[in-house]
Amino acid sequence: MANTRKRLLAATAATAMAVTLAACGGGSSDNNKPGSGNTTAKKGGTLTYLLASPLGHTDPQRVYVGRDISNLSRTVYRQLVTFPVSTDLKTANTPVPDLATDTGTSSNGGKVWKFTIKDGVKWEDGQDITCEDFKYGASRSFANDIITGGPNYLLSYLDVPAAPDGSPSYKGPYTGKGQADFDKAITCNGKEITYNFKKPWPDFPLAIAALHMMDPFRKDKDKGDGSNFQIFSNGPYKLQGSWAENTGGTLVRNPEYDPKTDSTDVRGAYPDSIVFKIGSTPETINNLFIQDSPDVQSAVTGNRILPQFIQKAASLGNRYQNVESPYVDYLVPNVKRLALPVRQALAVATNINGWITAGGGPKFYKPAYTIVNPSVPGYKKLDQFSSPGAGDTAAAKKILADAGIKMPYKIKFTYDGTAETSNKQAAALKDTWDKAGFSVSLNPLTDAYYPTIQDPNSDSDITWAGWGADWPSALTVTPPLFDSRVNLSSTSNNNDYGNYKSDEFNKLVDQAQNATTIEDQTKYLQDADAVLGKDYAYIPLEQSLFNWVHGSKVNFETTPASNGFPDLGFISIKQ
Amino acid sequence: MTTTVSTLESDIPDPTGHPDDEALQKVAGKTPTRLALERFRKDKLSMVSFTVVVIYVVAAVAAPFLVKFGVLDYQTPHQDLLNEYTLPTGSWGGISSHHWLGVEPGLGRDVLSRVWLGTTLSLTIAVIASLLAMTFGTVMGIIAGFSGGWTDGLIGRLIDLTLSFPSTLMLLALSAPMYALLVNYIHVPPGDVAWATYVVLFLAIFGWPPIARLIRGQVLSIREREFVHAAVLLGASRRRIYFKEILPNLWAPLLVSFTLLLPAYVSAEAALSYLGVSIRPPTPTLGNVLRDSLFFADSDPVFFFAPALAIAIIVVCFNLLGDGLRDALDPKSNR
Repeated sequence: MANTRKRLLAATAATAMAVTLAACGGGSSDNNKPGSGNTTAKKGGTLTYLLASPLGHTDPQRVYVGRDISNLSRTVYRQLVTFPVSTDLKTANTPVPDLATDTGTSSNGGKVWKFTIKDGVKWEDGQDITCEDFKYGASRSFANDIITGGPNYLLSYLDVPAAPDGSPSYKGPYTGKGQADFDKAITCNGKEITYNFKKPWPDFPLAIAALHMMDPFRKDKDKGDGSNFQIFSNGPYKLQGSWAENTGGTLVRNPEYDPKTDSTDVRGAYPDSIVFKIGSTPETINNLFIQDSPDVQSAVTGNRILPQFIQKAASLGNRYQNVESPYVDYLVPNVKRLALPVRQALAVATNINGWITAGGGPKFYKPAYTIVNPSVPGYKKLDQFSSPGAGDTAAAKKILADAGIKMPYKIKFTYDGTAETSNKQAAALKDTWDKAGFSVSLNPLTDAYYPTIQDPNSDSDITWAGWGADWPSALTVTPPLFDSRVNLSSTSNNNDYGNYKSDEFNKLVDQAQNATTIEDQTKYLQDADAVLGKDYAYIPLEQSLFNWVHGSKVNFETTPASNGFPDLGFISIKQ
Repeated sequence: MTTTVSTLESDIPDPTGHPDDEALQKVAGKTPTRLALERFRKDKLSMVSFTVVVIYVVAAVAAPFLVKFGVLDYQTPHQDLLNEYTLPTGSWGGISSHHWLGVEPGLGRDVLSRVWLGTTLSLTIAVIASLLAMTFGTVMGIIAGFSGGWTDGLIGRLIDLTLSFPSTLMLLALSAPMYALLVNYIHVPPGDVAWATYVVLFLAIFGWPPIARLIRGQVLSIREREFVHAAVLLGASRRRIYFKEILPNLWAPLLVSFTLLLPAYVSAEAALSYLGVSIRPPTPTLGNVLRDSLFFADSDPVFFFAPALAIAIIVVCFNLLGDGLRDALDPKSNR
């Protein structure tokens, strides 16, 4: 299923949802250890959150940007279960109950999941959150002509019969078509909600904790597309007035929220109000924070430090933080156009050090050994990419020569040219590729990047892409990117930009998807990734690091659970 | 060019034109061109700017050869010369005996080579665009001025129409379709050549109207002079009258407008590069090198000032040269 939201857009704040744990161990300059339980934090004050460009959605079923998912979780939208904050990878990846009384019970090999909703949890108008609200929320995902942009996993998992065209027979709550089918798939029994799936979903709680697609939604508040920027809260804050798409909004305390019902410890809710201010440029925001201008002394931002400001930012002591992100950038050779030895030679000659330096250096990236982020359970380096460096041009030349390939071999490299550093990064790759017997032409795109590289007849030989896991499982990394059956069609390659097609890989994906335990699933996914490595279906480049500067009157926190972005559940104003 | 034109001028006995000049000519035996040159030489500022312009032009012509022989290398990264923040190590943007203007942050390419070759490409674009705009503008101006009547009206309205277009907006909006058109239907080689062609055409198409207006004004006065009447009476063809009788009398204003149009186009090309519509990196132009460097104005000022000064010097010197030429060629104009 094509969903451009999950991809990492080079210039803008990234998109996917995932959890980075390595940040806890590997992050730098920790005067405030992320999530270590801030003892100095006090309630009170007004926090400002600066953003250069507008949010896409605040509708729980539509939001799909890592930063926004985390911000909304911490302030206004509680979930059935959520991720705790911990430096221990296993603890941090095990959901804890939030609106539900426990983390759910599964039966029938992971095909049926049951949750019980807590007593005393209320909407901002004082009404209880009911099972029907959860059911209604889930139903909205099926109206994928109106509720656009959000995750669509439910459409392929929920046990709703398929229409003749392969899509679910249920079309969402607005048309009423197939309502009976949906009512059978999700059932309510008092406070107990039951989900019935077509195939096993052993990591369903992880998916709920990571995304807002299963959040409750009140039927009487639903205005369809008109609810895109509506916030009807059940968390510690509520929206004052309305959300203005281009300028933001103000969150104030929600008197109906009872902290006693919230045992998650992830919603400190320290500031009395949080003001979202939208509209500026990333450069201006960078400058304001570096200078600690009076306007931003009690502010944080969702805009990261840009490479040209990094030297100044890094000298700011504890106002500066460097954390790992859940995103990995990679290159996709076009399998239709490049034979295996050519792909191998490209991989061997890829100058990862040059790419990293041209993109801002070690403060912005660290080399990746596989497309799977180190924070995902079951992370395993691939042999083919075990020693990323400056690119071995001699070895690459030898591979080409041994395969009898005529040099110079012409290739076209297509990449997203919107980021300021991207042309330089591409030039760094071209330098060693050219020396290894290729003749590289650079093709920067500044518009409609993903639609262009999804063209099955594209004449690009190699392309750039970025991805982050939707929840901490490789199931949300390699299958959506390389399973030819869900990606390749006559009109679009969807996420399989390189036309990769392998029965061996697909079989392992099937085994992983039908596995009933997470351990088996992880094993199959590791084998599947090894097949991709053997076939040089991708070349991992780097894992992105995020650089933050915050105002001097803020106790700053960023956690893996907030995808490396500022964590509003822990940030407080110095009193 | 000067010699042929001056011969032409002196060939035509010109009793009505410049009585003062003729008197001078008799006394000192000097042609008007010679007099103009003498006036120009006396002006120190003009001579300095002329020298700088000559240096620029020679350097610009030499750059492609220097690249070919490996003296200038605008492509090879030297990332070993960068620190952990990917800024050049050492003071002054990494200036060294190998890299006279330092290296770029990020990639470590030689700044001097990029600015130098960028000057060549920017000047080439500006020169071609100016020549096109002037050629078209001159022809339209002569036709409008000499014909008068409805032809003049038509060209006048065409000029108004062209000037009233929101040109910058159009340039940006049309860049993608026009680029595709140039590459797919006119078979311009894609990439740098196609982008350069687009910019040249665009600058020329929106640059000719002021020239045409200026020339029309000049022609309106020239066409009433006796030698033109004589040519008309003798039955000379329109073409002869336009290009043999009138055009030679226009070289002074044309030369001046050329030297003023060129720097305008150099800065226009830089602005367009900044907006992303021109030759793209890794091929350097002054505009795209400046664009790259803008982000480092704070952290690596040397890198920023190199292309900025190169543009500033070209623009100032060409403008001073143009002013100097105007003063020298037309001493009666206000200084």
